[in-house]
Amino acid sequence: MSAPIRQEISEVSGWARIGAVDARYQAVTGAVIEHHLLAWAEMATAVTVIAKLRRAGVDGVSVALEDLTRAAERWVRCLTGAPVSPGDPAVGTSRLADGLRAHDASGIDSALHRELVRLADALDALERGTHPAAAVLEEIISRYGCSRADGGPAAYIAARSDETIPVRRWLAAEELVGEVLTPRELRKAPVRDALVLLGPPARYLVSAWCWLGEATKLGGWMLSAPPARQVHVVTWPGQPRLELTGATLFPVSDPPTVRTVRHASDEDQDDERRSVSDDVWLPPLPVQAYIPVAGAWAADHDPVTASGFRLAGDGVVFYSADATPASQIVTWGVDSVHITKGAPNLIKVGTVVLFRPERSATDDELHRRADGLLVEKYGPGAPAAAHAAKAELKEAYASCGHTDAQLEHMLDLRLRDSAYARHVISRLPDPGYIGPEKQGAYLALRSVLGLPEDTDRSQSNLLRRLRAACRRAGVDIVAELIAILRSTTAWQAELETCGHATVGAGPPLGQLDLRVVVAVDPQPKRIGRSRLGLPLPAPTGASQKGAQ
Amino acid sequence: VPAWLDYLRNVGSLAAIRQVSPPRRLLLGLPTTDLAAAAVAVGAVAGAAYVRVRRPLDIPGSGDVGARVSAFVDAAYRDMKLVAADGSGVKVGWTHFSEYADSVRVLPDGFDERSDRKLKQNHPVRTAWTAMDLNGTNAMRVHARCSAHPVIVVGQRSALAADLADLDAVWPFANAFVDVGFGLDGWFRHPVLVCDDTCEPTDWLCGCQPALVVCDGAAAWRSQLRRALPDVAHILVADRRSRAAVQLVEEIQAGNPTTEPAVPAPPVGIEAWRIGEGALSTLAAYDEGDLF
Repeated sequence: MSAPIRQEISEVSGWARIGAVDARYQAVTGAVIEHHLLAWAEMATAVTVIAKLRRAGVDGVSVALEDLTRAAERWVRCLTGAPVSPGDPAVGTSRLADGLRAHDASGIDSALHRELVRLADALDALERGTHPAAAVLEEIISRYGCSRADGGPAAYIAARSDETIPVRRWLAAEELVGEVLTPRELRKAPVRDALVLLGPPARYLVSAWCWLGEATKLGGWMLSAPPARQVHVVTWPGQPRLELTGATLFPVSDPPTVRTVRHASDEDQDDERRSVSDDVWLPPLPVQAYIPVAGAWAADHDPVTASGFRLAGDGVVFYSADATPASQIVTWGVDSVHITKGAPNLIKVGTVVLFRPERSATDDELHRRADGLLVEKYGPGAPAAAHAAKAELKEAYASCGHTDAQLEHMLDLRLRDSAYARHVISRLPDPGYIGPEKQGAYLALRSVLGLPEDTDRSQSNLLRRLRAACRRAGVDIVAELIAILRSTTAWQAELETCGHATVGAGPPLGQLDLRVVVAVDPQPKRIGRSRLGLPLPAPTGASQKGAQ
Repeated sequence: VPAWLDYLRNVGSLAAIRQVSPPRRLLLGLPTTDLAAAAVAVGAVAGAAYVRVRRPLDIPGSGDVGARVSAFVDAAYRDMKLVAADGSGVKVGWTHFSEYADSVRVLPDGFDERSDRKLKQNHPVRTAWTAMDLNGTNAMRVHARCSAHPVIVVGQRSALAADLADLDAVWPFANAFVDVGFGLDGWFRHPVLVCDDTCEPTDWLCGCQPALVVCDGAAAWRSQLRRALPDVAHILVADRRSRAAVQLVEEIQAGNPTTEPAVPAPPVGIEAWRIGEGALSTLAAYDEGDLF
């Protein structure tokens, strides 16, 4: 192919790409957001009563009523995801009403008699009626139909991954055309005419580990960077509030403009406003969870102060700011996956942590690769020499006869940096720690430990080579892990729904275990070094302190 | 040219032209990061070239004689030994530089050895730089000046390369003009260097200063390389749809940064937040020791 022709093709493909990107910007620039507010008096009553029952549960009610309250919350959520009829047996409206009446008749929690009866009556009324969103959605979706050039549907309908089937079934029953996609699929979807959201964006992402506030921010792009030129947000009682402040990425940005379309009288709207309660969307788990330490965990010969985290799937993990391993935090964008090291104070509820159960096997792999790199660059004797230089420091530390505090003080006198001196001395016993990276600190440490001066820098050069090789090997391993995680996106959906996912990486990297942090222990604990960074079974009798 | 593309180019250009103290930290929230880092890089190189035509760098002195230098000699970038330096210019190998002696750059200690980079007369890079009509000056000398203070893009190499190729449609020669090099080893030879977010800062980096750091995504902003270059402007291009970007903004907010006016004001569809960055995050505590 001649150069001019090749250049012409490149220019054409360049314009096509720029056009596709420009379409996304144009969709944001000219996006019209319509908020359809529906009234539903019976549901408003039900939500108000459920919120009261939930608040009563904090003061103390029977376990049976707690279960009923949770069932009622699930029932509300079921009716917020698709315009299914409340009388549908799959929704379980009558079953819930019967349960409430039976509990009321038992006389337990008699102080809440009025609320129980009111809720049961509201459920009866709901069962006889229809879902008010059905008609509005039908009207909106039918506006678009199959108006795309290729005859495909011009509107997206967003659904949670567990709601796609009911929504598709409803569309088929009503003979409507729309493409039902989850928010994860919508991120990559090309720009179309309309996006229909059944509730605020936060509703699509809220879970036990992604609370309403965070879900509002994470889902805000559906309003501020939607894959459509028109966005219809249809809300009704029972759904969380539509928060526009979370729609933008930065706190200084102006929220998008929304046109409100009311589908009810003013009186109904007052009822609706009173009833919208985010209470039913609060997480079932507490913010903080005190994790009791099993005896064996602290019985290590070398305990360190560590922060504890509860994981989805009922496990716990501890990380220390002063000792390895650091946490491996997984984040992902639209087309990318990243693994970063994270200090314990950066881990919070919703953080995704990566585990490789066979840590020792990975350490072996790291050293094997590092040694290979040293041999390749410096010859067959290089690994032994480098390890000998590393061992020299460790042996001198073990036999110097000083306490850590004395060593810290002596090092601080030479470095004039107490924090760094503490950091170096605390890391010295760690088998993975090679030595201070700064040349001045290394020489000062040798002096403190009573080692001869490294006048020709031969020892520090050996350590520098070892450090570079280990880092290169670590970077290679991380790159391989990222490649594995990038090769599939199923684990992202699993994490959003279950809170944990497993990805097979094959030897030598083994199985990758991804877990979401669901609660943070506010109190640091003394934990053996060997237990750090490992998912441990949750100890029985873990006391939880709610901070909702 | 679409307004968003123009804005991204202007932002890069301004950041490279006007170095302020304390250096800028500009965060851009975009509907998509496609083409964004590339557009900023195009603007930054154009801005840097504009400045470097008129503003020469310091010339190696007599104390540098014998040091390794990078110079554009005989249609190639070569790493050679500085033979002589006096008031009339510098001598590298058999070549005496009386004009543009500042395009001969002393390599920092520990800089790796590398092979020559040949750029023949009809090479696209030379064609593009000559086409810029830089006041009739010797374009490759300006190229050398810009390469001494390159624009660092932290992000995916393949994505940036593909984006630059596509931008040729809007700005002919954009790809050749940016002349992207891969990794820090390309310092002194390319006006733009793209490095992975796992790229480790080298020992010699403290003696060098880039023109601008462009971070393509949240992981790039967290990278050690960005944190190793605190004295220059940093621009983050973040995808509004990205979960990682939302988490990064939360982290930044937790540090209570000061907000400064973003200049120029962004067009509709782009969010801009200029901050004053405080102390480094606690991630820095893990700089030493094992990576894994």
